[in-house]
Amino acid sequence: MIKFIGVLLIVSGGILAGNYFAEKGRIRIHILEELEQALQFIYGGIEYAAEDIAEIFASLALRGRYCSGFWLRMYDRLSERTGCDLYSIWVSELDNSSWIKYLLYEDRLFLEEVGKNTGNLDRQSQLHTLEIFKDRISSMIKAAKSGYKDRARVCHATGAAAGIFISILLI
Amino acid sequence: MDGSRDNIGQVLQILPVQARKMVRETFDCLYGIQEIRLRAGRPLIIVYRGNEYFLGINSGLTHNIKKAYCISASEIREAMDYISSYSRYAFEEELRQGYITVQGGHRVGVAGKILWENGRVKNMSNISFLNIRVAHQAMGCSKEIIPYIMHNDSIYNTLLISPPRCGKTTLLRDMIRILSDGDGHRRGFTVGVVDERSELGACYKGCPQNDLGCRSDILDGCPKAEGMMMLVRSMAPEIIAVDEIGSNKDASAASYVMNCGIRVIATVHGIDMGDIRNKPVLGSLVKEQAFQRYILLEAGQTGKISQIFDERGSVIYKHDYNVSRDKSTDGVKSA
Repeated sequence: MIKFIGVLLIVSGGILAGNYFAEKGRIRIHILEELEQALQFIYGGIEYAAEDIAEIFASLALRGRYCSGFWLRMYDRLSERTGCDLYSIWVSELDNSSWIKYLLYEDRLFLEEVGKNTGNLDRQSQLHTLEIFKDRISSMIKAAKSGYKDRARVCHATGAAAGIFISILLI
Repeated sequence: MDGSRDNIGQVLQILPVQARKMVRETFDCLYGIQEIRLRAGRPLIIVYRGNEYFLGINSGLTHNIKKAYCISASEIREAMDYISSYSRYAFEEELRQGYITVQGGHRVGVAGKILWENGRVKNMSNISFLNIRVAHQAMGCSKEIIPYIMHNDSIYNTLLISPPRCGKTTLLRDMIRILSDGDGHRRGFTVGVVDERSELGACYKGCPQNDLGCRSDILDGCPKAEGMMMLVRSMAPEIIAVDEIGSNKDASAASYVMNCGIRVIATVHGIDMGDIRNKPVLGSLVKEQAFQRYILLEAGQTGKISQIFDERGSVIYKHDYNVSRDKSTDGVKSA
């Protein structure tokens, strides 16, 4: 009986671990989608209202599920005017964000690039750069979505298989 | 009367951190500070009560350049980040004109490398020189002339004339405020202001930083001719105020506005009435007696009214500054 319970726990653990990794991929897609919307919002703020970047961040802080804290902290730090440039504040706030762990290394590099090219360009270059970033994040989302189902299936199967394998090994 | 706003924080927040700390230690308020000049690799200069000082290494003001605090190129970049709120793209047009208006109505003049394209300034890069001009309002400076432009329950179309830097804009700003607010004896008027260069209202994010009265509507950054038409159509003003009319389009728009029954107060560069009559654009308006009052400011003096003329060019007010000067000199001597 005890062996049976143990096997059940180990297999469930394996399945849960597989589920966690599959879920991580799903959350990554959601975050990327939210960032895509944010880029579109920044583009609109610059194109149609010529708003300054801190105001745009403040508006973004009221939207979204994952990144609102990041935008709010960006707004606060920019308003403090403590001698840091926008890029260094951006990078340090990326580090402080809890959602960054769901993203891949390439995603992070992409976000750093966005921070590096925001605010210090003339209007035309700024809008053009944002268009490029929007295109890039769209293709990142597309790639993430196309591979997600297969990867989730692999994660679930691997988790369950790992649980069964460990159980057999222990028995 | 100096209506200087005593909010030093608004100026401090655009200075680089180190300079901000030192200026804060030196001054409690803005009163008396006229300009703060930042140049890459050069000492920070403060124009205080008409005199120029260096900011000392250990705070305080000094005339000794060896003890002066020097601004680095990175500090200029830092200041530019604050001035533009980290958003250079939002100030492209202002940079083309060479200045940015910041919160509080203070104006920051910028100089650096000009990018020239198709006969006009495209942009400015490598900005290395900043001149922060602290905003001051001369509240009540136009009180003296208000009775001369009043007519029953309205005002006369009025033209303020003076050479540059004689206080036309300051006087116009105060006239707008007084006419818009009204007082116990006179109702306030709805005033539409076309502020092409943000000099009258000094709008920051759409909010005027200078007091233009409670019945004023401001079109900020809008070309004068188009702005006057827009105000007539949309805001039902009783008076329209514009600074520095000069082009054919401006004059036609002003004429159109007057024909709509709206009163116009405008300023123009000029030395005297003869000069205005000879101007190709404004001359015709003068001949048509479109303006009923011409206020001439004293050349070489700031905000001093020299003469007021009626529509026929007859003097209805004349101020004798020589008498005033003699009187003041006598006062000093006897003291």
